[in-house]
Formats: sequence, structure tokens, C-alpha cells
Amino acid sequence: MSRIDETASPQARADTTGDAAFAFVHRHQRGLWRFLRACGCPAHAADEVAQDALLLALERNVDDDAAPGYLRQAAKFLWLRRVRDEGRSHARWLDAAEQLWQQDCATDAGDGLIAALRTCLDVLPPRSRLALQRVYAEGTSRETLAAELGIGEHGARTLLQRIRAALRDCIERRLAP
Amino acid sequence: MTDDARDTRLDWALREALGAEAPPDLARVTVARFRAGDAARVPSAAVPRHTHWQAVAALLLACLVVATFALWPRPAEPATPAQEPEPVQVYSRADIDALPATTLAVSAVGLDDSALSALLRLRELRFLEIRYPEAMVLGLGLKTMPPKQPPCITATCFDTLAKLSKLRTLRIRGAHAITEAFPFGGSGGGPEAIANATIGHLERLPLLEELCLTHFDVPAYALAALSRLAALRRLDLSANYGVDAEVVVALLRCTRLQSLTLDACMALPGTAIARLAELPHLEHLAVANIDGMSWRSGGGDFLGPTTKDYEAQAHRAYDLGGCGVTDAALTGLSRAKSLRTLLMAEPSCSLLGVRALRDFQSLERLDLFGFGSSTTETDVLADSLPPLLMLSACGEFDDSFCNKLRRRQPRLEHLELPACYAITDQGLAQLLRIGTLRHLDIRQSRGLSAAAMPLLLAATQLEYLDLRHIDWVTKAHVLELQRALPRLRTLLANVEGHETEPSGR
Repeated sequence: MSRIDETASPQARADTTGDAAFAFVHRHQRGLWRFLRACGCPAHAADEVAQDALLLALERNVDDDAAPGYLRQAAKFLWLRRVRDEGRSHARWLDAAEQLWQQDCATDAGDGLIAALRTCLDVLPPRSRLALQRVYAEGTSRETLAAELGIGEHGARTLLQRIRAALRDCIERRLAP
Repeated sequence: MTDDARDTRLDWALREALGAEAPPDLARVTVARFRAGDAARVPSAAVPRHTHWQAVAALLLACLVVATFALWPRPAEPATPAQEPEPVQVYSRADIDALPATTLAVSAVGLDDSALSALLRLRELRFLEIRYPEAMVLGLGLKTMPPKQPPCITATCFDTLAKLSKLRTLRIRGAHAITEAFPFGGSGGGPEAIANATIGHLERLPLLEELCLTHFDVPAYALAALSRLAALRRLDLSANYGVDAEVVVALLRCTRLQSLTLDACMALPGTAIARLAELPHLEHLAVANIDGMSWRSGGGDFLGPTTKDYEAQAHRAYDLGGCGVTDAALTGLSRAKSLRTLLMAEPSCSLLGVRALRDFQSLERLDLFGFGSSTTETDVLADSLPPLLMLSACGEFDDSFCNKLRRRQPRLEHLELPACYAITDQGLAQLLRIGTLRHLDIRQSRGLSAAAMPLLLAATQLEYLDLRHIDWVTKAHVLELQRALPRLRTLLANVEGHETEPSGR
């Protein structure tokens, strides 16, 4: 599946196709997909849940202003149906995730959070940056990372915990009004 | 709770900021689904904002529904879940012409290109299977007399099929005449032109989730077009002698694949199977019967010269060694993070490879039928298995293996151990102590005796029991078991009225 072409405006593409449905999906898919990922939905499941939520919104002719809220509710509902075995705790957890989204990401589909994180990453020491690159971008195991950095597996875990805590603080400072 | 949510959000943000993922473009698929009326299939979501009185009304209604349900007489059988429509069987153009235009699912046998074009009238078609049974016989399978010049679709079929825009599932099995369009290395306008003129047409099916091209040969240069199928999640290329290491390179570009079946692909090296771990969402992998025995074996001389070339090439590749589920394959696959099901019957691995099974992080269902020709092998296997829900095996398994299963597999639900002659009543007693066990296949277990009956009668957790080909089982035993086991839904035995379900192998 192709990635979103940020250089072509959704409106331009919609005008080309002459189809309001394309424009609607283009306007809302990025924030919706990111919301699902922020809720812990795996990437491939996020594709499917986001599609289903967008279909419901198109079917009910939800207008643009109401769409972000509607899509989040529909996506939560559909995702919860998939993980219903995990029960109420997951529903509460999703509510917390949505509250955070509403607080920091709802107005710009998460662009501000990603930008803040990139700035925070830029000021990390090289060793910390390398650790994140290996684990999050390349899928390296903690064991391999530990061997590469010449530390124990426990040390690698602690290192990652510290970096994550620092990043969380850094992001929150930057997002604070 | 909020800290967990913050952590999960950071996980996603880090992956995106570091370039490991990006939001996908869902517009084309979503709008195609919308136009196909797919919204009706999506469960209705809750209305975003409930008012207080609506919540109270909903609560009262829920109470009423619960009370009504509790007092309602229960049906004898639980309601069956919603199912995909049952396909209509057709054998000719006349059969197709007689179908209503709203037909949703068709299973066809022996069509030619002309009959296939008649399907274009069925604009709502979601599911299509086209089979040629004379070309689908494998190994020592049942031999039948093939027709002299059986009809078959050719590679032009892909252009026709691409016009069935609502197709979600397309299965083409044994269509040997298609292979004639795929010479080794391509020709004429080159491999890419051939791919575009054939499988490339399927790109026009935005909803296609499942594709089966089995029992005929398609090479890597043609399968490269599969990466353009945006909705493809499940792919089956069984008994395809064009499948080799280059095909795996092409498949690695289909990054959304969740299920992949490459059974009896004889030219597929173990080192290439190992690379399938790179598919990030792969949950189900079948690489069974790559064993030098399960070759396509239909009789008759209806195969074209290109098909014969692929077969000869596959024999040469297999004879060189290293094909199938080798030690390298298992070591590589152990890195697959989301793999839940691995079907690898008749593997070519040694004890070293089997030990890699302990490193599989997510494995729940394992079929290694045919591994375990010595007690040493079965002992190592028992010690190497990760916690499973399903296990299927057949070999020199004995009571010691059963004892280890009982101790090490506390959540096993489904166990197939047929024709294990060294398992005695003591071994069966160990197996039946696994409280989660629901499905047990111990057919042809010659080491069991009638003294095992009290053990079986006490196994009240069982829902499925296969006792076929056990000489001492009588009709009286079957009746006793039916009375004693309250959850038992299927009981197979060589007793009149209890042998209807065909064997899977």
C-alpha cells in the first residue's frame, strides 16, 4: 500500500478525481491512523480498522467538522470489538489514550507531537540515538543491542527506559501551552 | 493507565519519527469499498455522544434484553455465526448463464476462456474458485483417468477477471495452460511486459484480499506484480514449481501479507524460507510437503512444453539438496515476530533445527507431521516446543513424550498424534490430564488397549475424538463415550454411523 504523498494536496487530488469521498478520506485518514497506532493497534490492523471507520463515516455522510470525533469513536468501537476478550480494562485504557490524543494531537492529526519528538531526538547523545535507531527503526532485539553496545541485557533495558523517560519529559515540555 | 497510554503513544511516535513506519494512503481502497457497498458489512459503531437520558434508556433496554434472553427457551444448538455465501458449483457456460446476476460466490470446474467471460454478467461476485482436478493430484493421491484434451483457461483470463471489480477472493487451481505464457526468463517484450499483460491486471481489483494460484507454475518475474495488489492479505502458491528464492524476494515486497501457503513448492530452498521472517505481519505460514515425494502426479499428457520445463527444473533444484524446511529455514523463521501458525509437515530438518523452535516468540499452532523417526528426536522436540495451542505430529512418539507434553504444554487445546504405535494406555493417561485439551486425534494408535476406556470416559473436557483404525473399539464403546462425555460433538470410529468425516491426510 502506498504511503501518503504529502506533496500533493488532498484537495488537488480530489478535484482531479471529482470525488468528494476521496477528499474526505484524504483529510482524515492520517490523524485517524495515527490515533489507532497511539492506542496500541498494530499497523496492519490499524489499516483495516481505519478503513472500516472511514466507510461508516462516508455511509452516514458525516460532515467534516464532526468527522474527527466521529471517526475516533467508530475506530475505538471497532478496535474494541477485535480485542473484546481483554475486556473492560482495555476500554479504560483506550479512554486514557483518547484523552491524551484529544489533549495533544486532535488539532493537527499528531503532526505537532511528531515534530516535538524529532526535535527531542536531535539533542540526544549519539549513543542514545543509536540505541533508538536499532530498536525502533530496525527491530533489533535488546539482546543484540546489548552486545553491540558492550553492556548487559539488563543494562540495555535500563538505558532504553531512561531514554524514553527523557523523551517523554522533553515532548511534554514542548507541547505544554 | 495514563502512563501506559503515554508509553504506547511514544512507541508509535518513535517508529514514525525514526522512519520505520508512516500513515498509509487508504483512499483508493476505502473509496472502492464504499462504492462496492461494503459499509453495510461493517459493524455499526456507537453514536459518538450519548446524552444522560439515552444512557439510562440504553441501560433499561439492556436489562430487558438480558431478562428476556434468560427466560427464553434455549435452542438445542448454538446459533451459527454469520458466514460467507456458499459458492454455487458450475461446470459449463450454460451453468453460468443460468445463474442470477446477483450471485455472490461461484466455484467452477473445467472452464475455458469462453465460459469464463460469461462470469462478467455477475457484477456482485465476491468469491470465485476455478479448479482443474486432473492437474491437482499430488504424490500418491488418487489417480483418475484424465480427459484427453481437458479445457483450461489461458493467461488472458487475468484481463477478464480484473473486470469483476468486487472480487475479494480469487482461487485458480491446476490451470496448467496459464503457465505457457511464462517462459523461463520471459521473452518478446521482456519479463515485465509479460507480468503487466497477465497478473498485473489484478491490480485493478482493489478489494482482492485472497489470491490462490496453485498447482500450476508462475515464475518470479510474473509474481513481482503481486506487490501492487493493495488489499492482498492471503496468498497461496502451493505446488507451483516456479516458486524459488527469487519468488521469495518478490513476496517480501508484499509487506501486508498475513497468510502465505507454499506447500509442495519443490524448488523452494530452506534459505529462502528463512527470509520470510522479514514479512512484518506474517501470522500463518504453510511450507509443508516440500519432500521430494508430493510432486504433481496427474495422469495423461495434456501439459504444455513450458509446464514440463518447470517440472524438470524443479526436479533438478530438489536433487541438488537444501530445499524445504531445513535447519536454516527454522533458524531464520525463529525471528518472525508475529508468526502464530507454522505448518511444516515432512520437514528436512535435523535436531539442530528443531531446537530453534524454542525461540519462536508467538507460535501457537504447529504441524510437523513426519518429524520424529527416533526417540532421540521426539525427546528433543518435546523439550524444544514453545507453549502451543495446537500440535500435529506423527512419528516414533511414546509415553515419555506424552508425559513431557503434559508437563510443558499446559494450554494445549488441539492435539493430533495418529499412528504412534509406541503410545500405550499410560501415555494416553498423561495426555488426558491436560485440562485444556478439546480436540484429540489418536487414530491407529496400536499401543492402546481396551483398558484405556475408563481414562477416555473420564475425559469430560473433550469435544472431538478420533479413534478410527483402533481394532478393539466397538459400537458399545462408542455408545458409552457418547453418554459419558457431555461436550463431545464429533466422535470418529470404524463403527457404523461414526466414520463419516474424511481423514485430513
